[in-house]
Amino acid sequence: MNPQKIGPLSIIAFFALKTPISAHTVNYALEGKPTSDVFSYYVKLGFEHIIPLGLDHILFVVGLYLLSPKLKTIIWQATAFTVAHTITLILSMKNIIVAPPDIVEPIIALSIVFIAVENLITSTLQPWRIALVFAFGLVHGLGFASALNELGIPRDAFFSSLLSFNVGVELGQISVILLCYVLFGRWFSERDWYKSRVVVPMSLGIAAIAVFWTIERIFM
Amino acid sequence: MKKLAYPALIVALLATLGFVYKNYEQKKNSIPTLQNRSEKQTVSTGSEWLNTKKAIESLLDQIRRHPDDIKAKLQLAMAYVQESRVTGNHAYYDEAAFKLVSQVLEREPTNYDALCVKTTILLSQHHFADALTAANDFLKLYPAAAFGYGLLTDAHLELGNYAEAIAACDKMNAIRPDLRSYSRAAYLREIHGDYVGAKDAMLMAVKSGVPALEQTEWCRVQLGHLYEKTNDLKQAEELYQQSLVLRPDYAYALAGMGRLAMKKGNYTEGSSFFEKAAAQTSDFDFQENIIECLEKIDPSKAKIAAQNLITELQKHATDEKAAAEKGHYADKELAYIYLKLGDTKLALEHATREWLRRPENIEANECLAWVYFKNNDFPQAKMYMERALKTNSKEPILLERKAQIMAKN
Repeated sequence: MNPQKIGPLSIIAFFALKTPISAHTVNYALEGKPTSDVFSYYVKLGFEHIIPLGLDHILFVVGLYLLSPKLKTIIWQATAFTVAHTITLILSMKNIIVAPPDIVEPIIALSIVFIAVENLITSTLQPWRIALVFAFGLVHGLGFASALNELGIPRDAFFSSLLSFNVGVELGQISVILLCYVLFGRWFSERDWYKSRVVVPMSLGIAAIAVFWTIERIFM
Repeated sequence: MKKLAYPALIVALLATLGFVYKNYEQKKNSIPTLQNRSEKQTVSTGSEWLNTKKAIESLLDQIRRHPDDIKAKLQLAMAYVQESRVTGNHAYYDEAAFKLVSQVLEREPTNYDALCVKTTILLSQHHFADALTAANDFLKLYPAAAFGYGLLTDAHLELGNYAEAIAACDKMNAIRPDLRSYSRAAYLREIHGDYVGAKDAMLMAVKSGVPALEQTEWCRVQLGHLYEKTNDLKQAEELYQQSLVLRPDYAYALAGMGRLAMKKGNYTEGSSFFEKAAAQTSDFDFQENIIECLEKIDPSKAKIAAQNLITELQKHATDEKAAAEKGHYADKELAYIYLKLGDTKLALEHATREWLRRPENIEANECLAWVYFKNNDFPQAKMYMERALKTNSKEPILLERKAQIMAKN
């Protein structure tokens, strides 16, 4: 078997394991409130979960951007990530998949390490990169679910709350990508030294932080 | 080189994933140990602490020798729930007990005791909506279990579903009238402003309990507190003294005596009671009371004590935040702590979070009203105070806050 295909499968296998299931928290305050209130509340919550609260998700998205400044590459990766985390966010909030933070959090950190290190090896989008981003997106979705679960969702607006939260998360991700573009992609991506002076040091920095998080999340 | 880099990266990833999983399994199946009580607590609780330690160490030893001993795991979980109550270290012991009952429920998903302990912990961790679901699920399995109705009462009470809480409590009393059902009825009557009825019910709770046990003495002290709130200080003192005879140095009885001493203007005596209480149980009310006494005795000492309390509160705020990250919500407590620290912005953030979780609860509304008041947002304070008063509670502190808020509107 090609070892490159084992990664995503083994990650998915983790979450097929039997874990204790608990009901998601109910946000009673928003029950019966107008849809616009629910929408704006969860869009804001989703956005804040990326900027400024989700430093790990931010570094992951920056890592995706650093592979290549080509729009097609970014869109492919962002789409895989979005589709994946949407799936697990819904499944987790419906209690179909519940994963313990002791597994989810270290893997989120590990996903950042992987993406950053891969940026050092290649600059082209390989199919397995998309598969891995998809697999990691599944794990990030479980992380989003745990954050959303803390504040809960109203029972009469389950899907619209989830959708709004996801929209907020997407807006956060797009903002990170735009920031990367404005801060360095726009100005330096065509330069010969872009990889050596921007991608490599940034990826090394991201990998170092994520290695620290991985160790911290496994042992603390 | 590049050809080797990818497989190496994948192998490293898989190896780490395997390690993460192995570590998780180890953590999941590990048995949480007993934490030493503070020196002051050890000295003051003497033989009780030694007995507790001996019993818990024996259970830990039993589990080490027989890792599948479900009965021992359950007993250990219950011991940790009690230790959490005695020491005030909810963050550690609730998580420890939860881990143990999860191990039991994995093997026996319908285990009566494990489900009871699980729901109790969810309530202690302030996961009220989860606790309500768990209590309802428990009653589907054991519809005649009075304790299940107790858990249902507590969950409804915390969520502010007062009519449902009364119905569940009535059912509990009908199935099994005892200390637990009477004390819940007393609290429900109290928050509905019926102090006479509350005292009757709490007296019945005391009479149905075994004297000197913590639960019974807690009820006795609560009865004293009800008398104190209705200005019958003589009766209150008698009850606190009784409790102290039966359970020497019981923190809440000592605090009751301290409050009475303050009411009589004996601040030195009051301070001494609160200091003894604080040595037993971690409760910031006791520290606050000490400062109130010192302000009357020696304002300079009060200032130093206040500074020390702020340092403690800051540490506590960090600890509680860490606990919240582990799943132990304590936003109401944090809101009050940040108010004491003068950080009204953070206080508002936490009070709002608490309110979002249980917008119908009178305590959550009172907390938010008070935080808005401290933020000088008087119309908002009034709005939430009106919600806090919906059960017609005559709790003195609530009424005092109401007066201050209404005076500004």
